Amino acid sequence: MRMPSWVRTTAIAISGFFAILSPALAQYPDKPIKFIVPSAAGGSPDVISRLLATELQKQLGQPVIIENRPGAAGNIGLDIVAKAAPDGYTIGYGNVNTLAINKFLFTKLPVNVDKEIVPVAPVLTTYNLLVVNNDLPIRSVKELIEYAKANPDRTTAGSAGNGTTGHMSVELFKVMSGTKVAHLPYRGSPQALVDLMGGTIQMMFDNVSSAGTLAQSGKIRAIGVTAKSRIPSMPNVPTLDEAGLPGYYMASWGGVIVPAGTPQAIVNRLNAEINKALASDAIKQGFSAIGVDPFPGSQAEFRAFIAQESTRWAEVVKASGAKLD
Amino acid sequence: MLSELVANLGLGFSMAVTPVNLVYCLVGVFLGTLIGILPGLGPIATIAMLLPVSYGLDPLAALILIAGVYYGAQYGGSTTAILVNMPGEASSVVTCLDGYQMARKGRAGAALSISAMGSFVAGTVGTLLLAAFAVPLGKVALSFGPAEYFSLMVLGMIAAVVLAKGSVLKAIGMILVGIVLGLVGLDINAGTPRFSFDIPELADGINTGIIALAMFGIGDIIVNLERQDKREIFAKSVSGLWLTATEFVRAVPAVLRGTGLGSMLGVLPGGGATLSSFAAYSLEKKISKNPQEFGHGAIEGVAGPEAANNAAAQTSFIPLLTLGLPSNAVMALMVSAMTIHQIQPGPQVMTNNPSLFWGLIASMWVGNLMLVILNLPLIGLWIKMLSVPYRLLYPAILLFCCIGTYSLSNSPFDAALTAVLGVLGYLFAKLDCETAPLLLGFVLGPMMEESLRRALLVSRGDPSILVTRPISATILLIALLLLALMVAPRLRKQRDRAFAES
Repeated sequence: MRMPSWVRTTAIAISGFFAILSPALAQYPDKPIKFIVPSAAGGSPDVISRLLATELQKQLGQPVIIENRPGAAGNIGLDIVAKAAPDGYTIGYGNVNTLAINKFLFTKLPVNVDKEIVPVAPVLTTYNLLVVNNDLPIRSVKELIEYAKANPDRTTAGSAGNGTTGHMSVELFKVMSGTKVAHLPYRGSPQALVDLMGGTIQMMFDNVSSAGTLAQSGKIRAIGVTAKSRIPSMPNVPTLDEAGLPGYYMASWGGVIVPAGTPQAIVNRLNAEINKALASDAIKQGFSAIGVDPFPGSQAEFRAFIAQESTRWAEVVKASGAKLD
Repeated sequence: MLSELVANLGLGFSMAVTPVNLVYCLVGVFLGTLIGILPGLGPIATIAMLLPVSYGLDPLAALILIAGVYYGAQYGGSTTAILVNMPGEASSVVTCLDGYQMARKGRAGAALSISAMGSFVAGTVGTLLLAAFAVPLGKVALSFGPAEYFSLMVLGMIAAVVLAKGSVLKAIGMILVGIVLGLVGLDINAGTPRFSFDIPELADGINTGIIALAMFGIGDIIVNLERQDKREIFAKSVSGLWLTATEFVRAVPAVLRGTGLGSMLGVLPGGGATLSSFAAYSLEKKISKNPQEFGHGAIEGVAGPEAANNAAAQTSFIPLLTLGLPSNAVMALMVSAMTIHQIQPGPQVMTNNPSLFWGLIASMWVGNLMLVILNLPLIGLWIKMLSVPYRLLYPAILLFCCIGTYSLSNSPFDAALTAVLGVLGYLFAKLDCETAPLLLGFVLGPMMEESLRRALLVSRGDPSILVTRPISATILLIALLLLALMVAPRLRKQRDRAFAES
């Protein structure tokens, strides 16, 4: 079958047009950038990514399109980032779970994050609150430990699910306090918070963004925060470190990643733009509303941070004995 | 209390009827109706796409828009269920059962009218309940722990058998198949995958929308392709868009019962709203004087569940607005729409942002009114859709199914899975196995298992937790009574005779 000549001419013209554009790294970005978020629309990773995408879009002059690819504890989305063309037009959101915990927790994973994924820039950190049911006579971490030791059969800790930072925080708590708290995983934190308020479970570690308002309005009691120093939004809540578990520290963090092989010039450009975005008022206000702190940094700093966190999580996961298939 | 409520609603309406907010409300409900009608396309994907737009709006306008899409979709979903037997979501599955049969008998207009009016009544009552009793109802949700959920699911399962038109044995079989399909994915408690065959897309289980579309919609299309003769039936005989007097008399109490049931179940976070339409159908069939008509176009079977799912859609805002806790995926998107505007959802919204809180509630009533005004005149138009030749209508439907299932989580795997399960749906149809019990098993089974294991973990393995908690014990008792009523055929025969005599 012969192509009509105008089709051929147009096709040649179009391919020629792209041939001119594609090698021109200096002009990056010259088309929309896809931003893969490995969780469903609506959660805090999604809100964070959308805030960032809006700023990046203004700075880069090209649309940055969020694509939610939830499933399998973030592994589906991570796999899509890893397998994408390493041309800077597919970037992704990676966090403490997908970059530092899952590799020790799961027996098999579709992606080797240390080899197939390259970190670009850190974006945020946030912490977990240790919250307890209001009706219990527990007002401090010490009292919680005493209670858990006196009532080993009546102390259950909920979490947003197996392998989440809430789950890991409980495991770390158990190891450091020597208590035998039962861990009860839920499908996301809302239902767990309902059961905490209703008294089905006694304690829970949950992100400041979801447990914070309930604690501030007195529906549940916050007795500790997993940060290294007290957080500005809740100055009366001590850190676990000062409240009786010296050395306790647990952060949730996230950042931007690209597939391995992405040109260094593009990575540098993205890092600079992300850091610029993090300094904007829109991001500062948006982040503070959901209880997360901007986390600026170079690519090297992010890489070193991930390595350091990975060592820590390897120990916690091992000590807890948790293992997922 | 009453004067306070009036003042609050006054504030709400003053916010909701500003021209700008009215426009967003209209856009929301119109979009919602549209995507509700298109099979497969659901509110979740639509709202996710609208999120970036909503970030630029005033927070109240953004929430009004999103809420409008949500309850607008509940309206639209029933239209497709009635006309082409295609449920967009689990809640409209039940509407297929009798709504589609009514359409085949030429009563599509009546079915659409009652579902629009029933939804309006339910929406109004639901909104009033939300305004007056949000706080105490929020507390009811807290008294439902895992033991209570388990008992509720047991009751739901037993009631599911009532959904069956034909063989009870087949219905039970289908419930079990549904449970097995529901088990696919990660076991939440142990973290081990089940029936997922190392396919990462199956790790989080199968989406309810996929099962609903495949089992009802696609299976049915394949069956229709075989039946050359029957397919023209309802295109010819569409008589009267309005309800007859008898239909009206039968439908009104069903709407009221559905509204009551839906309002209560909607408050429960997680699954309450889905359960409500099934529960309403079971209730209507149980107390009906003509249970044999169910499944063959009984108007109560449309009126009750439609009212129930709409009432539940309204009251499912209660956990979100009073506690800041989303009860389903749409509510989770509302949370993110609020946080992006620096409003932290939670108990303090009511006191810190009263105009937002009451404005949203008032807008829901306004939106429901708009939906009735929008939908009733359109019924004539929808009916005309039935006269579109089969060869044009069904490929279009399949195309939308494909787009819709893909958009659930932007996954091509999901679209392929729908096609495969559609063949299974066809087989079930050929074997005369009904798929409604399957869907209920699919939805309730995993929740039942999770609740039971959660309850037992909390009690450290002591099953008495199920009967020592009063609410749980009461629900189990009701379930036992219902079971006794079903397994004692003599009792049932006597009852039937008693009804025949009266």
